[in-house]
Amino acid sequence: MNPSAFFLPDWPLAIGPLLWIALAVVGAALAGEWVRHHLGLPRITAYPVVGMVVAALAGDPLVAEHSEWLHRGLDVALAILLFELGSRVDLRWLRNNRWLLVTSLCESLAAFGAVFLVSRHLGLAAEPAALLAAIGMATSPAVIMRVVAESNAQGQVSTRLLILTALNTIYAVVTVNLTLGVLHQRYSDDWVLAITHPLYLLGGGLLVGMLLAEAVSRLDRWLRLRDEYASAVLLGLVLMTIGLIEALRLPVTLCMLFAGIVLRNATPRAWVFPRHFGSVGGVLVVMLFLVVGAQIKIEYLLTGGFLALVLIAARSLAKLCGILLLARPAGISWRQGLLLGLALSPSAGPVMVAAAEIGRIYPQLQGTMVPVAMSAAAIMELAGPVIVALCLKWSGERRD
Amino acid sequence: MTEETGSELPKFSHSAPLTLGVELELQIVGSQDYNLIGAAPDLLREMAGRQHPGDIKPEMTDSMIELSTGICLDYNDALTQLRSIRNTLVHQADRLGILLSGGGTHPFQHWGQQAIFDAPRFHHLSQLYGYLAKQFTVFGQHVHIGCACPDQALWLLHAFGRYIPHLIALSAASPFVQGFDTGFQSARLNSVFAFPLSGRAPFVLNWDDFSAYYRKMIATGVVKSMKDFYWDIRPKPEFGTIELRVMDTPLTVDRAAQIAAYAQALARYLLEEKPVEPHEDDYLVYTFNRFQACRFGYDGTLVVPGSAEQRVIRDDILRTMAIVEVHAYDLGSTEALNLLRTEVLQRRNGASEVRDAYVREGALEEVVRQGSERWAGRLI
Repeated sequence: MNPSAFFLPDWPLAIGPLLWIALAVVGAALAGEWVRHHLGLPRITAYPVVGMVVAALAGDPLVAEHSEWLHRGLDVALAILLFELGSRVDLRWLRNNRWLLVTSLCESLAAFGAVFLVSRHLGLAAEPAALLAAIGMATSPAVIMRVVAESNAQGQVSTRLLILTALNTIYAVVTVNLTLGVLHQRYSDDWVLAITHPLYLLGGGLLVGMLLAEAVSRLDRWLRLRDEYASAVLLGLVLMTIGLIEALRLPVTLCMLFAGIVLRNATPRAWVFPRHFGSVGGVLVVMLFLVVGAQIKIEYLLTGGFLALVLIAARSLAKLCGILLLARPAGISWRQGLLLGLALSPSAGPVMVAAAEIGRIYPQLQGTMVPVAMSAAAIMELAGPVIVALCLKWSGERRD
Repeated sequence: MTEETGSELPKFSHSAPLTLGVELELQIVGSQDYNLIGAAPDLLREMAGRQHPGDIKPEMTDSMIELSTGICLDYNDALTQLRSIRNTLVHQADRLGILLSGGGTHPFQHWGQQAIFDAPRFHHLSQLYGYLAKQFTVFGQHVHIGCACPDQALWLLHAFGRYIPHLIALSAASPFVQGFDTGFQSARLNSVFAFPLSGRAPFVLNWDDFSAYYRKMIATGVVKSMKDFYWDIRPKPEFGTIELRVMDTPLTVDRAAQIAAYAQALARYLLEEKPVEPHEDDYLVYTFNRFQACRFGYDGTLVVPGSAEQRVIRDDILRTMAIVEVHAYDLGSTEALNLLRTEVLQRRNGASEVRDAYVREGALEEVVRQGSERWAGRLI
């Protein structure tokens, strides 16, 4: 149809993907408020659901076309979250309470073992099973950070939840990379590559983390980072770091966690993460969960759904046992141990991204490991925030 | 602690004269944001069954905890007991990843965020006093002094009134409230004054008269037990002591023991030398003196009761220390007195140290962190 004047739009209107994405963001934010007011659940419960619905409505091209900048926004959101999570890890506490460190190793190992055994039992080859198990060690940092922040929880359960999440995420990234090393050897028969790759990732991650921590702590001496406007400088620094991480081909997760840990522990001086900067991350988190939701595909749920449920059950039980076994020596009550163990069950969102990438690198795994990991992560992405919110409520640490 | 509900005062127990008991209310601070954290139930659970002298009890809000010594004979006994309880507590706090701190107020906590400790008495107080109960998230040192008989207790209680400003100035450690410098050395006491039954005990020197007063107050329904009186000094018949309650919790247990030793030496001086007889009219200048001590500390002005003589509190403390020195010697607390005197001469108390730390560090979080290190005995 010819427009009557050159300045009028085409009819029917050509609705670009940007509008869809914006619509999704507004929809997610509103749904989040609704969920919070009427169901008393954390806002982020609604985001992946909306993402899933919008992706289903708008079709595949939506995410595919914009994957480039969505991926970037997702990286920034995650980076800020992990930076803050890292800065919550008090290494002195781990020194004072060795049982806490042992608990952390115990629950991660138990989760690894449980996922590995179940997936082997269900017929997966050893390498993909190990990869899945490595991924299964991590608790979703995004879910934990957001739910703890939103419910303003403080106490043994929430503080330990944060520190255990940071630690098991580190173990998971390390183990995933080690497993990848094994996969490299298997698939390309190159020993040197298999050994140097994980070493490079770890060493490089620590180095970049230290650089960012040093920059931020120097900056903190000049200007008050607590100031709202200093958030821009911090955001810029994080973006620069992400750029550097990409150039060096390092995992964002590890670098940002290390940066936070170094920042918190390099000097005994009190470090409180700037609240405004946390809020910047909070807004970006809407995007993060939307994109994660949009990547949930119904066909994955169909092919991997059952195996995923079995995996989730085994993994959650393993984590719970790992925590409960050492609850008393580590200084928490049985009840707190129970709630902490349950709250550790959300599986990691970045893992889903990793699974997708691994699927791309090794097409052989596309049919077996990827759908299972994807659907397990999807189920926990939807149920995780609810579980964590309930655990924090029952622990009596919620202060909202 | 049993709740006395009868209309009669409990019998005044016998206690050895001039024995000491020290109670300290502590701040429980989170190591994430250095704000108060409601970890009293966790700390009490982990302390249960561990060997230490004295006792650990919950307080009004669940970010407070109270430690108390057993009966102490002298300064050294008190110091040893306090250090031992402190070490046990700090060890458990380390396991829980939380911090403990002295000081009369937390510098930037907001009272609205505090939760009442889950016990019937505290819920009752919270209902009665409303926000005052949560605003009462302040931390004090109480010193018990053993008295031979109830009449002696009342006599000592009123004779001590004149020296209350000394105890305030020496212990003051609460300059910041809700994130701001109040200008006070002990802003904590302002929270105490808000309570309707705060202030001083009625001027009665005879236990029978005091019992009659108590019966009348019970009959009005205003109070249910001695605990409902928030007086600066009150008799504690169950222990056979008088309880001095105006002090802020000092920044270290050592300081707390020194202040207790000073109070003990003063009590011995008053009881043995009987330098003055207490009068109702002594209280004419009482609230003025007390305000001066809270606001200006050592630099405040003190009007000597029964005269129009004005003295700087610092000078009055130093003069009194010279007088009670011989009693401190007999009690084995010369060291404590000397340490305190040095502080006074250097014009230093908890409040000035907190302010100096803020000037030096520029962040109240860091002030709190250093405070917790000092309390733990890890920072000199």
